[in-house]
Amino acid sequence: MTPSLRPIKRHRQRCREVRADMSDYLDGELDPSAAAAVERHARWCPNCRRMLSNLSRTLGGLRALRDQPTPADSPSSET
Amino acid sequence: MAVSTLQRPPAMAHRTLDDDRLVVLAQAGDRSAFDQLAERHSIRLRRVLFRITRDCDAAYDAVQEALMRAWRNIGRFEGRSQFSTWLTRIGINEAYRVLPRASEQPLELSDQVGERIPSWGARPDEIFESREFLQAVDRALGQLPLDYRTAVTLRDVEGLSTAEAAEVIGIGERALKSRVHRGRMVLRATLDDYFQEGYA
Repeated sequence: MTPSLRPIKRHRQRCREVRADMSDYLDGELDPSAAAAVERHARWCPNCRRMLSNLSRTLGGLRALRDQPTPADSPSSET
Repeated sequence: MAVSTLQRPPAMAHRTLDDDRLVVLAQAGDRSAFDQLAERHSIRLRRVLFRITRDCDAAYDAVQEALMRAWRNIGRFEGRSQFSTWLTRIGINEAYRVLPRASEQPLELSDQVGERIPSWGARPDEIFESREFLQAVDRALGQLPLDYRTAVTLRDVEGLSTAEAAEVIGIGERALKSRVHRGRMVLRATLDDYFQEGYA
């Protein structure tokens, strides 16, 4: 039997695994069991919860950029 | 500066046709049909290329080159992707060709990353409606290394699917997802100070 990892080491490893899944989770591309595992971990891990929340907010900002004009929209750039 | 391909207004009759029909007409040599496609997609393409190059002239030139290249090669377009996806791929290739000149220019962002956002609200929707927040996100996006910036721009700003964005860039879906995830995480870290201030 593989010796179990120490709790802190196991926790950090789980954090790394969850963080690697965060984009897929927010894109809805995780299967239900994996998505539930991300949510379960984020419920009791404050660092991952904050990271997931901020990543979600970052995505919201990126998506909102689509409708924002850029300097390249101005007529002067077409001269 | 490249000669504009949009000198003639497209025929009125073409305005109601969808892209697929316009492509068929353009492939048969109907220049007005292609002009309609160009008019329909060039503004969005210019925005995408600006977000990648961060240079108005580079973006404009890349769009013009892309339109001319697309017109010359419209016969090779097989319709396996949307016309806009195909055109975006050509545009990004053109932008990458001119990018060394653009990338030598200083980024506006570097001195402003640490600025506080005055109207930082207490609710997420207030943040997303904040022009200052969107500017901060845009500046942070401009700081990403080129390959990550391109991937995030296509996937998150433009809303392309993983498959579409991968096709535009010319990489596999797994590589695209990796770039997007890493790019998002860097952006999140760049903006983290703002979030902490707003939600402490």
